[in-house]
Amino acid sequence: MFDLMKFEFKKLLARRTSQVVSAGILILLCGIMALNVVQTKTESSLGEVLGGTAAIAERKAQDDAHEGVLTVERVRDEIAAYRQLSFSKVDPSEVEGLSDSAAYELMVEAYDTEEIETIYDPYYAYLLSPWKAPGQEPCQTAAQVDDATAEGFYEAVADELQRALDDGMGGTWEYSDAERAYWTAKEDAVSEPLSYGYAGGWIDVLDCAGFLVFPLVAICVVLTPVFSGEYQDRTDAVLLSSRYGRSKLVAAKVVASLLFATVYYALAVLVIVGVALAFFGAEGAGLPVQVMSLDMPYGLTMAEATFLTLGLGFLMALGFAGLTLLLSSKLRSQVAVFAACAALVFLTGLIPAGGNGALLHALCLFPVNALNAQTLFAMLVSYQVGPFVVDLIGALACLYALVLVACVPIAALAFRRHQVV
Amino acid sequence: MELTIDRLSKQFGSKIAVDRVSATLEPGVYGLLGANGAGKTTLMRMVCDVLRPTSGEIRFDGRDVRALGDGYRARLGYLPQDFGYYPDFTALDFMCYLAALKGIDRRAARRRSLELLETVGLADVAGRKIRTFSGGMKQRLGIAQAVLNDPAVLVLDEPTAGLDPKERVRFRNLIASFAQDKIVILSTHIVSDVEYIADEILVMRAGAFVMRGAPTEVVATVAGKVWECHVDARQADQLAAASCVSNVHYAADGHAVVRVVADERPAPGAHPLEPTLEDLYLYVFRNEEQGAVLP
Repeated sequence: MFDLMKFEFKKLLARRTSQVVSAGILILLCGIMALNVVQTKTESSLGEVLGGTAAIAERKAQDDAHEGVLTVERVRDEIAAYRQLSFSKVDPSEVEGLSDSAAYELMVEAYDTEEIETIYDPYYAYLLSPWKAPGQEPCQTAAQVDDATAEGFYEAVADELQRALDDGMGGTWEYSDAERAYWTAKEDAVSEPLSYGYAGGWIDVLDCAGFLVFPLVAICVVLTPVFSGEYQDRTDAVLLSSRYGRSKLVAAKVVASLLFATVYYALAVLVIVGVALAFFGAEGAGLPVQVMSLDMPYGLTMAEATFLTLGLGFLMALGFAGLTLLLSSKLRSQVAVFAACAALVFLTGLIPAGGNGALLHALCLFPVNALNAQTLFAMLVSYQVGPFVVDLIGALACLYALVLVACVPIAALAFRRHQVV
Repeated sequence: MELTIDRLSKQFGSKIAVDRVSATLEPGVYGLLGANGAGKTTLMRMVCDVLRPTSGEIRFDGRDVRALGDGYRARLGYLPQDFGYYPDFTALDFMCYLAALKGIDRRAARRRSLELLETVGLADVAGRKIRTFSGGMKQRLGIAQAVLNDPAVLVLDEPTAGLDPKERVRFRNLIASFAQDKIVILSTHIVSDVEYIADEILVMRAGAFVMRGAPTEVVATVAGKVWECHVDARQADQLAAASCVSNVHYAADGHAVVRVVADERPAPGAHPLEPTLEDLYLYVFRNEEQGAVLP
């Protein structure tokens, strides 16, 4: 069995197409991650535009300055201080009713660079986000948040969830009572107070998780000929007439394929996580996922959210490996096998939901849409089956585990029953 | 040891490729002769359990080969007609891979592979990738893999395709030395391949066995039907158009010596010759396009 696996692995990697695609995609990922570091930009407190590692260091310094537990008192005091600064030269009533751009111009004219730097510090936008109406500048939101309101910071976060549920994805999805109860319970389970700090490396990993669709495609390319290549190259007759051609060989092919998918996916993850954590830092692993956005109703740390996302990506890789094996066992044409898999990976990311909530829910199940922290943790995508509600994470885990578990035995059976005609 | 083919049929849509074929094969070399499309390859694929029959069954020592599964395939060697290979494997890798598939222990596999590569004249190129091999070399590799597991039943579908005359002789000797106490089924339409080594000839046509027997027996069925005529070139052309001509030799003086397979004397002065297996083949398949009925 081990010998057969070794040979199957060799067959997988011996093809020029497999070599070029798998190496090419790893190089592409390295390039993307390098550009991700190089193209990071931020403005220093002196108004200087920084890039690359200097920008990362500046961002870290900015976040470190606000590090700590977001107690209600701290939130109240910091918003009060923010209001004090923001409205030291402008009256709150002056920014109310203005468009965001008009409010911005008014603030820029009224305050000096250093003050503007503080007024537009992303941390305050973050603190004010539970009260933020669409198209508002932070100062406009602050105008409506007095001390008493600020003391209801965590209630506002919970209210924001209820507003999102009422809004129903912009009116395209009506949440059932069970779904509302599900999300509310999830939000309630988030422990308070939240902590804030720098988690740039983990955020970068989550931001770049979408690039994991490339290794998925490489896995499909490499696994496409596992069975169909035998039919096309006419080696099927010799294999199937041999002693283990219908038993151990099939197992060896499946194990070698899944092993390849695992190793290759791990390499891709290593590139993304390695570069992100090496350059952006591994700090903040224990911070709550809400450091990215307060509207995420998940009680996860950044490291847990990252591992969960990468784990889902792994399940998708295995699911697509299983699907590729199934198509490969059924179709002679390798082009058809690859085209079907590539379409499921890529084209589903290009289809617009067009305001259709059901379609959006369906599209979220495909890699390009799903491997995104906002979609996974903030979009409130849930599926109800009878009385049971499952979120996107659960649905993806079930779906791809099911695809793997269903496709692999069917593929094995199809090859065992293959007729040499 | 006995391989029984029992009323075996295979139908593809409305086309019957193999039509209720029955035979009991005991150790020996069986030459399966037939024109393209006669059903030889389909029959062999069913014997090798890579194609499911529409009806009938194949039994090995009285047991259905499909029920025997791995047990039957462990005793089977097969060289398919369109032998596929892995271009990026070396010859030795390929042999070791198939040895693993045939359940041969790793160390024994390497030793046996090297021995067989030596036997088929590929020892010097054992480490070379198959993509660099000529058609004949690939075919020899195919023959070597078929006998890797010292099979009890060896099925060779067009094994000499692509081999030069010297290689064909070497192949014949290899099969002759290998065939003791084994069932060897050898399909070809190159009759000289089986003429010398087959213990029994099975002639297949339109999916059925139409003739069966030792080479001398089947050849005897065309005794008195093979003629040699000395005619001029124009008459030779007329004979070739009207009769089943197995050979024409044009002499320098404009005359031709024509070998004809026919029921009746084809020309005045024609004299009978000793028939060969090739004459039989031509006689049986002389009207293949017209779908003539055999005598």
